[in-house]
Amino acid sequence: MNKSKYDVAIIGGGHNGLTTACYLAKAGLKVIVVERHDYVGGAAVSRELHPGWTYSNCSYVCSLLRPEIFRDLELSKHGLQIIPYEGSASMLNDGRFYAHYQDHDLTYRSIAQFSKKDAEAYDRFGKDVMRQCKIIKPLLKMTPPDPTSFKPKDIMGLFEFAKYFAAKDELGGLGEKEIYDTIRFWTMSVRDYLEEYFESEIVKVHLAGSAIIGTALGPYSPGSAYVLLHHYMGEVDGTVGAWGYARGGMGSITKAMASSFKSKNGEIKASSPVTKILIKNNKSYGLVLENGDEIYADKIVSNLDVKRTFLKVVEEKELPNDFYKAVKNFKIRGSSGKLNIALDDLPIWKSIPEGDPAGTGDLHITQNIEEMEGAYDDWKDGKWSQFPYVDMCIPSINDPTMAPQGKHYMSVFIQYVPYNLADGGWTEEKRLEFGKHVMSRIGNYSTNFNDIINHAEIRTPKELEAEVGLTEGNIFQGELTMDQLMFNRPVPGYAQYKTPIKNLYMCGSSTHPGGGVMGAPGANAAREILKDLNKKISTHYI
Amino acid sequence: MNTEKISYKKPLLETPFHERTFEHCFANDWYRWAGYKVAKEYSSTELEYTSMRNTAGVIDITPMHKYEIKGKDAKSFINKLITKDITKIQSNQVAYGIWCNEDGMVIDDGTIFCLNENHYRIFCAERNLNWFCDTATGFNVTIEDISQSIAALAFQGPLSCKILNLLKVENIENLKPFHFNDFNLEKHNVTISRTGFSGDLGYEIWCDPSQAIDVWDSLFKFNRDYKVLAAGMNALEMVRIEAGFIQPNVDFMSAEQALRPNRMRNPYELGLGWLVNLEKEYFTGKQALIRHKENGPEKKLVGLDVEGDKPAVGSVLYDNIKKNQAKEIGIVTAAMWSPVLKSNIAIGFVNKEHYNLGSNVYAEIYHPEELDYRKIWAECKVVKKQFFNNPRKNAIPALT
Amino acid sequence: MKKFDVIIIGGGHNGLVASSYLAKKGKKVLVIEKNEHVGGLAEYANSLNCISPIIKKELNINIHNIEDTNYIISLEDNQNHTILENKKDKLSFIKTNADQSDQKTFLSIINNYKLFSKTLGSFMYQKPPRVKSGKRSDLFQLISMGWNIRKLGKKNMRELLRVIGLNIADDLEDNLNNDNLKSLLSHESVLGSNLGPRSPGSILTLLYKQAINDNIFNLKNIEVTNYINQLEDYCKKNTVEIIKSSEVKKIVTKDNSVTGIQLNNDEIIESKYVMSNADPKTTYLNLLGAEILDTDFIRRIKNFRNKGNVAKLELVLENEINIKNIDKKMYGKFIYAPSIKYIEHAFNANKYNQYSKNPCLEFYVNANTLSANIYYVPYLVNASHQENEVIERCVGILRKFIPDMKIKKQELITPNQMEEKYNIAGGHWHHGDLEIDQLFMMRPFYGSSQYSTPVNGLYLCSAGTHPGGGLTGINGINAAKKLIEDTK
Repeated sequence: MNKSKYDVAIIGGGHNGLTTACYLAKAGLKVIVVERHDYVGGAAVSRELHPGWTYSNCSYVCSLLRPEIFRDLELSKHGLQIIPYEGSASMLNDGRFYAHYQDHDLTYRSIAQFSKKDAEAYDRFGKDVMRQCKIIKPLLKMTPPDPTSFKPKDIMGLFEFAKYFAAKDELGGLGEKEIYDTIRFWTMSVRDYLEEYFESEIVKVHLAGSAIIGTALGPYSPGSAYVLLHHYMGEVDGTVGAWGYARGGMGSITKAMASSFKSKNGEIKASSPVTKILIKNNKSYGLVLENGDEIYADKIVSNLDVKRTFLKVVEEKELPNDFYKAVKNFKIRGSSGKLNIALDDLPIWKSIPEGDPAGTGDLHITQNIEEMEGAYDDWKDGKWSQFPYVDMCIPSINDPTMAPQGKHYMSVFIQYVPYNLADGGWTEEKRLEFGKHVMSRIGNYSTNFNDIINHAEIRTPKELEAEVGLTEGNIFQGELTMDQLMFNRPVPGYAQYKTPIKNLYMCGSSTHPGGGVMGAPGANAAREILKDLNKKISTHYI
Repeated sequence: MNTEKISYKKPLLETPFHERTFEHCFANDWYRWAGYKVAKEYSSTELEYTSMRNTAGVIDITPMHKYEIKGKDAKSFINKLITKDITKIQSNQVAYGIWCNEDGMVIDDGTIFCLNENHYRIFCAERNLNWFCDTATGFNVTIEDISQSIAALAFQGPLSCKILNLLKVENIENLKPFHFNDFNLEKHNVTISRTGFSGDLGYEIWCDPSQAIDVWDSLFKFNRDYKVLAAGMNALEMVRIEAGFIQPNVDFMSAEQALRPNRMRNPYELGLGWLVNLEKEYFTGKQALIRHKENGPEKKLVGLDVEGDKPAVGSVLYDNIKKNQAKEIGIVTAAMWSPVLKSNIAIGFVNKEHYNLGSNVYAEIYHPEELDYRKIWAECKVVKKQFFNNPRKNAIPALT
Repeated sequence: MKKFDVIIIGGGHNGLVASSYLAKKGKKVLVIEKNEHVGGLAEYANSLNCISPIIKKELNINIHNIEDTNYIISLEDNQNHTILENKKDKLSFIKTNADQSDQKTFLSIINNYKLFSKTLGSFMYQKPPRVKSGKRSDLFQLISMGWNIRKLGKKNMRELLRVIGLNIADDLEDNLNNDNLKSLLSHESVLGSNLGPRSPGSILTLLYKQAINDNIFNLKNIEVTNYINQLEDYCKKNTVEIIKSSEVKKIVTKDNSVTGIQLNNDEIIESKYVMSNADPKTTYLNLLGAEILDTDFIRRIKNFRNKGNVAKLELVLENEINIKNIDKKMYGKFIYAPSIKYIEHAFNANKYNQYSKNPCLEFYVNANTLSANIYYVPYLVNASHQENEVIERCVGILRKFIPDMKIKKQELITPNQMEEKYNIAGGHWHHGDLEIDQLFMMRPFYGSSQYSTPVNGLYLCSAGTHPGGGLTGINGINAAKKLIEDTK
């Protein structure tokens, strides 16, 4: 039997696991990342699943990655580059299209085609959302204080929190009205929220997309406005709310992180699924791999989602009952599908002219919020949506590395697709039928789309779960609803990256501040571990 | 529905004068104004500025937002919207007004043209359609954005009346300041108002976009004897600072657009208290403005007479220049060297202890000298914002 | 002409409570009621279980608790109904197809919710504090609210902070197996709200209702008319003048202060104080007029969500009602909401402004009359429902349990008709949705949420204020107290 000893062992080489690993290695610790696959990256990967094409086959666009982490980990030096979006569009059934551009005046005119009032309201909406982003930004970096605790650090945490809102100059002196706005934004449905600004359906549905991506909520569900915020709080080069492509696909992010980690003498053990966390006297001390090898470490960090960690690799007997039950009841629902399509040519859209920058960002075909909510109704009944919300993009237009010359790669994210079908579970046949349906829906908006499909990879939540290990294929490692945010994430009382087992930590998106290729959970976890080890490092983030 | 075809290749609109502005714009230096392309500098900012102070300058102000208010409640609607009393304004009169939000913070300013008591037009710098429509709740009025259906030129300078006179615009010299009327300008019937932002004699000409080129050409007709220049945005910025006019989102953030609540400003802080009529029964922000007036402004937008000749652009203001003791007490929002006054002027916010006329404050100026920035401490005296105010501006009959 | 200290618009129960309290404090009060009788929407209620004890004490209302035992029957298509008995605040199963463990869990869930409701209950009676008003009293109240939650103890506090944002379906599915029990509680949480069992926030509505009702299943069988009569008597005894069949057209103001009201017949009655029992939208946009309100404030009024979605069906049958498989002495509150899925499907229609083809019902019977609440039947803007179809759908369901139904008389009141009859914009039971952004210090909206309004002398006392609808009378008493405090 092979035995080795480390300061820290991290289970899973997703972007958060690697982020934690980098910070800990930077502090001089001996760190090993243990990864199931023969490649790292988790859900941020680029894979050649069809010869000549590189697919960002899970996550596909980038905005949330905290710039401080980018800087601390020197990701640029390790090969990462982000290309900003040029625009985005929704295609209408009547042959028109609705678009947002980098150019503010152009966007105004584009919206004004549908409603002058909405074009004007878009600025006010943008300002109000931006204010909320400013409010939430420092919270992302915060280890959520436990409101039930009397420990000085938690009381101080709550006090800091209150002080932040009460401060006169912070955030430009938030008043009572603005605080209520924040409560409203965090609890309302995105539809109600958008109705307060806009009259035109296409404007509302185009903006509402961000509120339902990856979540088991519909646009009418209270709490969906927060998900919109979650997708807006990112930035590209200081432009808050902007999105971009990672050059070379999303795998470039984790590849750069892995390279940064190795440069700090970190060790990555690939092709090594972990079957068990070794625990004695309520303390973790090592891992057992599938091949029987054991790895010992003072601290164990799990990048797996909270359900996978505590229902699969930790034995039930090691856990307090309440905690076990809470983990079992953790809401982590598969609601998204993905198509990765190799195209022999560039799609010609019926509405968007070739070369229009609006066609190079995210594209949508949902016509109004009712249609979007209807898609959610299907999901609630255990069916994939007949009129699904799709978020398509063709990164190869701006990124020459992803497809052979003259050919293109298209990523299609689909909401809603259930993890379990009501009519007896997924079969190969149903999966193909689902993929065909989505492609035919897209085909309706193009003159050549059906003829240029060279290869399509069709992924339901089942495939996401099987490949990435995300329970039920939930892209956020857990729903982003009020009951699972901040000090409730993942489980009330365990929101500070620690677990009931001593020396066992969590660093995945199941923890605060949640999903997206953000890196904040990983960096926050690293900060907590370093605190427990009484180690200090000086970085931009920590 | 707007059927205008848009293309990403042309993000900006062209005004009806574009054919001419394009010809005149030798510098090919353009500026974005409300989605339009207008000249920043035609050939020389200094000469363009001089034309407005010496002869007359022509500025394409088509991008201004224009709203038509019609209906039997039009007057009461406007009276709810703006802080001053509109009932005193008769037909063919123009009022300058501001509107505030419920917290008494200024959203925008504009000129309000009274066609009759059921029909007004508002011209302003920012987009206000939503604010106007929401304000109109409960009033019997229609509000229409007519920005694209009116072309507009500012014709400013001491010879502006004379030239209009030469163009046989009948009785123009007797048009009183802040009044307007319809006139025949050569081939076309146009609306001319005696308004402007130069602090000097000047007019604004409003016409149908189809008449635009003819109107432009008319104004340049006597160019051989009386040199009229097309003036760009840079020159406009100079005359408006000299005249002491403030601009939303330059001198202060519009309350509808400010991201940080403490960036919003009330009329008393902007020195526009004279536009607020607290006797008036009701208007948006009245209750808050009563409180603001009572408390007095914490800071105020004032004019600054700056020592030396280095413009105090973006300068921070201090109460003294003693090392480690200087306290920040304000900020400059606009500054320039005034060629006509031969002084160094600025507009800026100064806090309570220092905003009274005659106070002394100090500006920290970073002045570029051959690629090196030199830090200059300049003493500034608080003065009235209206640096330039020529009596011919209000003379009747106007100078011909 | 007579002078009054306070004029109250609307003789709904909150209006009456407020007038009683004001009269007791020596104010000369005039109540103006549009309908021929006072009580407003109270006549809509089938039972009365939520009058706040404060009201009873303050106003000497004498209500006998005739019978403390009542029954809740959840009807099933297979006639295998669940019957719950509530005896002296103790809930127990009479009949159910749920197993022992489910029964136990069900009762413990209710007890748990009860505990949370109690904590919330302590906020219900107070005027909600303002956040960041700069006033010491508000800060103190906020801290004491926090302290109250902390007093729950670590475990319960954590659970409260979790479920407050959760949806009822998730919590029940996590803990229960029996469909009937799950839907029974889901029904209680969504009835009268714009939520389905899967909408986040549906637990909060349940807690909220429980907090103002002590116990959701405690249906003290009190005559509503008796209560209203007592209130009216109390008013009269204390020299409150009540004018019926008279409608207020306008609230008259001068310089941002109330000067009186104008009736439909253009008569003007002067008073420095007016309290409106009309819903916030009606009060501000119709009675006061948007012309004298700040634009930002108007935006908030317009954003207030107030679309009702419960219709009421009153049936008179030829014969006495017999419900299959149920002992007559156990007649009580009947619920037809067979499963979470069924309710959620009914809710789907509501989202698209359609009535539920398969609606949920709650009904009460009395000899040969039957009174049912049907949901979801949404309020429609510029349209109306096919009323006969709604009735048919409802009767179709009832026939499953009352096969020998012969209808003598039927009357359906949709939210649209409720709007007209009771002058409630949107025809909403609670005058506005009970969701976090419209609760507590945010009810109805910023600038109007502590019973006072931007206009001096104008107060709100309707269900549109904290703590919302239900016949609690708290709104009335809090508003009255605020007025007294301001006139001191």
